[in-house]
Amino acid sequence: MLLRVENLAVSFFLDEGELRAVDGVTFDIQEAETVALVGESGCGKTIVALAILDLVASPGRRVGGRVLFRHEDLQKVSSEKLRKIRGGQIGIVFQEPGAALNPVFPIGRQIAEVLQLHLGMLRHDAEREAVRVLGGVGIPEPEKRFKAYPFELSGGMQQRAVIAIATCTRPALLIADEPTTALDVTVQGEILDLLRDLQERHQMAILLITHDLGVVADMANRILVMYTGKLFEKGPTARVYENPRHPYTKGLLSAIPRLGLGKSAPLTGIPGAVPDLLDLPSGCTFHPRCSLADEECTEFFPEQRVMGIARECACYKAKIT
Amino acid sequence: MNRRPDVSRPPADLPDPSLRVFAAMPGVAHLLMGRWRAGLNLLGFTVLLASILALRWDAFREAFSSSAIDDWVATRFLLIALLGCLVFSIWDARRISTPDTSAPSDITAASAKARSPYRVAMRRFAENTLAVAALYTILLFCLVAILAPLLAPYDPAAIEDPTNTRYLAPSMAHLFGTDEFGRDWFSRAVYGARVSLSVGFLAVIVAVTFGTVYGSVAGYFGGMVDNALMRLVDVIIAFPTFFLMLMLVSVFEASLVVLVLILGLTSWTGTARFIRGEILSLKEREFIEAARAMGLPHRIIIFRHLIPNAAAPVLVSASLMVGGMIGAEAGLSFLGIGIRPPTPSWGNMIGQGQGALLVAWWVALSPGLLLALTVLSFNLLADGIRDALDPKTLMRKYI
Repeated sequence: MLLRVENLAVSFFLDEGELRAVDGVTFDIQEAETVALVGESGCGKTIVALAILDLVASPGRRVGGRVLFRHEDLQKVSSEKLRKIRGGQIGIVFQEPGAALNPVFPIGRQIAEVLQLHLGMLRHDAEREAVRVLGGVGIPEPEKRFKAYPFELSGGMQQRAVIAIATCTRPALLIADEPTTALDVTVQGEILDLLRDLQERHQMAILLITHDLGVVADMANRILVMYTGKLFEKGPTARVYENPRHPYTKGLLSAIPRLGLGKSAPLTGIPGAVPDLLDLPSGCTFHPRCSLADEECTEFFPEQRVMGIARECACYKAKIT
Repeated sequence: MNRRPDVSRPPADLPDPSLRVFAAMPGVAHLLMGRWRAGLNLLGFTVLLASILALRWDAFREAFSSSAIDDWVATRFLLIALLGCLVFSIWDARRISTPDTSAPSDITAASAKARSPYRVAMRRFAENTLAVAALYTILLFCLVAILAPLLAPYDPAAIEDPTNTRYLAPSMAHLFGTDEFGRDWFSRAVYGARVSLSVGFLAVIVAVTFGTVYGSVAGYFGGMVDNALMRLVDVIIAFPTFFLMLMLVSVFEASLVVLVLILGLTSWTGTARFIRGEILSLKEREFIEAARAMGLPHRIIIFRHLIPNAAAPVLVSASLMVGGMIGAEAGLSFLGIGIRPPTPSWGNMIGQGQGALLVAWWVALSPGLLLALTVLSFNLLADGIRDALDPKTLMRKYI
């Protein structure tokens, strides 16, 4: 097992009170597999990614749970070792490539810097390797682009550069936080191809964070569905898509437009909106929007139940069919 | 997007062979190719240096073999600068006349280069006539300071014949007249430029370096560290700076080094405060989060990622500070507690002239004008840099 997240809880301590952004999230990632974490905006996906690397900034704080990377508790390792794991063992790609690159340095230098730091390369070797890495992520004319500043590149090229920085050390795990959201559709496909290609070449696991279920279907072996900071459903992608157990997952899937459905099958959304995290509904946080909800749902949050092979679901009403 | 006029005429193809010899003169090749600004700069600078060499040949020969460090620096600087002009102009003329093959092939890359923030700032600065004039004035004063031993017609400290040369009015023999001891006031003003400029620059370097590191540490770590560091700044700001300087100068014996340290270490608080503000906003940017996520140590994040991104405002405040520092040094020297005679500084020269204002007005006037011109130039330069770097002013025009 590469990464195990156990009962992770993260809170933000605001003037209005404690905001529980991530609550009791448990999942694991095997070597070289792709796991997708999906959910609506503001449900805590990015916070999970940051919490794995212990990067949640004040006023946020991890208040519970453990993150085990190769059976090592990341909260207990020395800060020096944690630094080595960040960037060395676990790479991360952010949503907005233009903002994730330092505007005052050429992209090649930014890659070489990470190589020098993590692999102990000398400047000259690091720069040569950086050119190779740039070529490896599909940037044309890497020798010239080495000297390019971020603003001289298009969005897609910037995201390739960010991916190059995150993967130049051959990390075992890449966290990709909405890697294609800021890009236009044609470029999205290219970036996803690149991620798949790198995964194959480096035997790298990917934690893909997205709200785009189309991307998930393409990429992920397994899927984690998140809502209001809690995991609602976990399982292999194909089977979850075929036969979603949780009403929320069903709602999400029925909201995807598909070719060939015709006019007769209208798109159905999920009624209502994501609740305020400071003022969550009692019991199951989804019950005000759920058509199956009754008394039982308003009292306690349902435990994760095993429902089928390698599948879990947190719902009183879900049935194995 | 080729913005270079007339690249088709390399110096090697000049029509007349005699012109080819002429083109070896720095700047001439540029002028022939229509590069007016570069040509005039190179030509003017070369002519200036060459005429100093020619007019002050005796002084140059004497200083060249002298063992004094400032003579050595002045003579070598003059020679290297002349040689540098020649080599640079030939190299640059070649570069312009051969078509650029190393540039990125596609048009977008070339136009992106032309739009780089640095280039845009340079072009905006060049269009600000007042700031450019200020820059030339400052460079001229710097040149005067470096070449002082070659330029000063008399020994600035020599008191030769006080009864006959006392309080002579400005004339061709004594451009700025003489003082009560018969010292040549022009020579002293030339040497005084050294003190004023070096104190100004060095004190700003001390203040800006210290303030930048201090402020960025406070801003980056935040919380308790920030609170402790910035409260200390508040305490220091609470002292009236000039009186603090007065006190320190009277405790320590004033020399150039002590003066630089005192001026620098009493005026870093402003830089520290606003750098902290810059860092506070910069550290929330995603690329800093990305740098932390890539496991970069704090030291590298602060010095390689945060400070370079805050460099533009630092540059502006530093250039504004130079004028203030020169003024402060002059103030202390005027009061007789800065640079002490016989070492000349514009400040103590004005101080000396103050007592003789009704007898010999020129004694106070010439260093006063030089001081005012220098401080004004630094302020205009700072304004120019600020306008050039501020993305809100007229950016649209250049994109």
